Amino acid sequence: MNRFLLLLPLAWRNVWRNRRRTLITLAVVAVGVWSILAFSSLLEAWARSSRDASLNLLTGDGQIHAQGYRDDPAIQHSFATPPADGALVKVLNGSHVSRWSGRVRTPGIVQSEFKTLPITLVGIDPERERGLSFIATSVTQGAYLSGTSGNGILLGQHLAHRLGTGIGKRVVLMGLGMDDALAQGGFRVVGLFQAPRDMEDSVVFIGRAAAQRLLKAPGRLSEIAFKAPTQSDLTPAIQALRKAAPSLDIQPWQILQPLTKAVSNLSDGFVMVWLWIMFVLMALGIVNTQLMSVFERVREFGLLQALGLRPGDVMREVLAESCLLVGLGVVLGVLAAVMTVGALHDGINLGFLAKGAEWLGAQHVLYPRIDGTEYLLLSVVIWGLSMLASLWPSWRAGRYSPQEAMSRT
Amino acid sequence: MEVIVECRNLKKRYFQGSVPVDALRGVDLQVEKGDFVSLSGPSGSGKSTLLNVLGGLDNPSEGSVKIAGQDLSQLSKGDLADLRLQRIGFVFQAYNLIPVLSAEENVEFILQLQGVGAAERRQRARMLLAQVGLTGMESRRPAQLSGGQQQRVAVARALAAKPSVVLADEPTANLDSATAESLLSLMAELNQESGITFIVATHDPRVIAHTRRRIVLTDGQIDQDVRVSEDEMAPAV
Ligand SMILES: Nc1ncnc2c1ncn2[C@@H]1O[C@H](COP(=O)(O)OP(=O)(O)O)[C@@H](O)[C@H]1O
Ligand SMILES: [Mg+2]
Repeated sequence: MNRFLLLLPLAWRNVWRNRRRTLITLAVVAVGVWSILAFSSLLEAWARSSRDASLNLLTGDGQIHAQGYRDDPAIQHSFATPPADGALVKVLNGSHVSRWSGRVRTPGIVQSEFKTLPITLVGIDPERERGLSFIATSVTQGAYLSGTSGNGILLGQHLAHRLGTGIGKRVVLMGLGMDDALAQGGFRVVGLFQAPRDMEDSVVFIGRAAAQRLLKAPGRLSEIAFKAPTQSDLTPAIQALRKAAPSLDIQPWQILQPLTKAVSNLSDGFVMVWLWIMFVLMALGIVNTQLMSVFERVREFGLLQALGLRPGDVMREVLAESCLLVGLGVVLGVLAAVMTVGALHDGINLGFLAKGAEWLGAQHVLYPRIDGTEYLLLSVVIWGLSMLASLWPSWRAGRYSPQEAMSRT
Repeated sequence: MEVIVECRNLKKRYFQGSVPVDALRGVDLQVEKGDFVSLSGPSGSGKSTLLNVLGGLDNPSEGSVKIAGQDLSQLSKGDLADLRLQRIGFVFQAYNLIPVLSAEENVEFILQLQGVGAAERRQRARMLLAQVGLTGMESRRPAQLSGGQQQRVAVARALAAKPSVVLADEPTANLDSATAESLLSLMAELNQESGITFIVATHDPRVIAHTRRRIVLTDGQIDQDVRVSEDEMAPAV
């Protein structure tokens, strides 16, 4: 180790001996590192955005249902509103959960003068949905619901168009009630909302009490959606909730939205594949230049050994050269990535390919972030792998016997 | 007198393809501390091979070498490297210096390997460079020095380590005769001052003229071994 430090200055000068070759290698390493880091930031932003997009719609970070609801979302698979002083509400109001709201949610039919279409009817508490789902901020015409028990209804823009209805007009909702009989009631369109097309077409919102009245299910809830303060670790929230309500089905978004989870995994996978592709290219470049520079200096390695360096020291010297060269390249790559990703901090607008972005499940604006730990980890991994690759040229350098090396001219 | 270099029945056989070449055919030699020895003989007579084997750069096929009482055959590669670092100074025909280091750094490099502190290193390097007449050129890289100046740096470096013996293989072969002459008288002078043993392989009679003991190799064997008196030696310039 002592010898290694001693050899560092010599190695540093040797690195700059062939300026052109060194600059090329530096560029290869820096571009590789930059692309890996920038790519990981972009994919992470995409995964986060697609997750937010789908979760912000209605799912939240997790949901509470009655057993069986996820297989058959009928009103029979509902549960009684938990008592305000009970254990479940205590956890929901505690530090593990930031927002929550109960909903009635069941399949139904909406009918206008012109058309009848299948929908999911969702009874909400309009105030408690703020910050929990998309609906409070997505009404583009008319007004948001003003209470839980009025007869106002919110329709998606596209659904309203298909039904040939509009603000102020009446529609009829039908569904199977708690008593298993067909239930129906008239509602007045108070607002139209904008959302991804399938959401606009498939969901209508009414007040929660109005929904319970319609379905003859007073005090019953189909689901409670909730958000945790930190998105990263849901486990403690889920555990606390399950403990408070062991008879209910309490699941995190990963279970409720397997597709969203798949997107997240996919993006991690992409980063790894890209890392390996770039690494193989970088390693080839590094090994190639180092071997060239070793072959050019065989005589010098003989001299170093004649002067009293051990074969292992010669190997360490060459390794130190790679260490410095790759280290500098990695630092440059990290700087470049921090600068580019930092410049994109205000978001990349995918508006110009809005359809595509929606299809990919992401929002229109991506916000790439610099994740310090991730950057550090990736840099260290690349650097370490490159050191492994340069073991080969270093070993070659140390293997010449001094006499053999000196007799070369 | 203390014996610094000793070898017995030294043989070295190389193979050129499958053809054996006997570079050394049984060399017995004892060199005493402070001696100044020339090793001459025609090209191919085994001078370089003998120096390489004595310096632990190459293994003998047979026989033994002792440097300052240490039997080289007992040493591992790493220990041999340490022995070279502590006990042996080399001066080769050319390419003696590390190209990316300045003259002073080349000299200091050895001292650094030996673990000598920074201040002492610097002082010793400057003093040695002054002794070989290179004051003012300490920070020049080898490429900025003439062939003769490079060889002087190499001599300074060989002495910096305070070795038991300096092995020089045709150190003047690439120099014009005046430069060769002055390098040799410098080496003779340093030998007098420091008491460090020198063994110089050469086939230049003017170089041989500076030496006290003159060994001639022929076909890998010692052919002549003559000791001359002070007044037969060439005077220092
Ligand atoms: N590495 C080697 N492989 C094969 N033969 C060698 C090698 N080194 C030296 N020789 C042979 O050994 C003999 C002595 O060489 P050398 O010691 O270099 O002589 P000198 O230095 O006196 O000119 C020569 O015949 C030479 O060809
Ligand atoms: Mg020779």
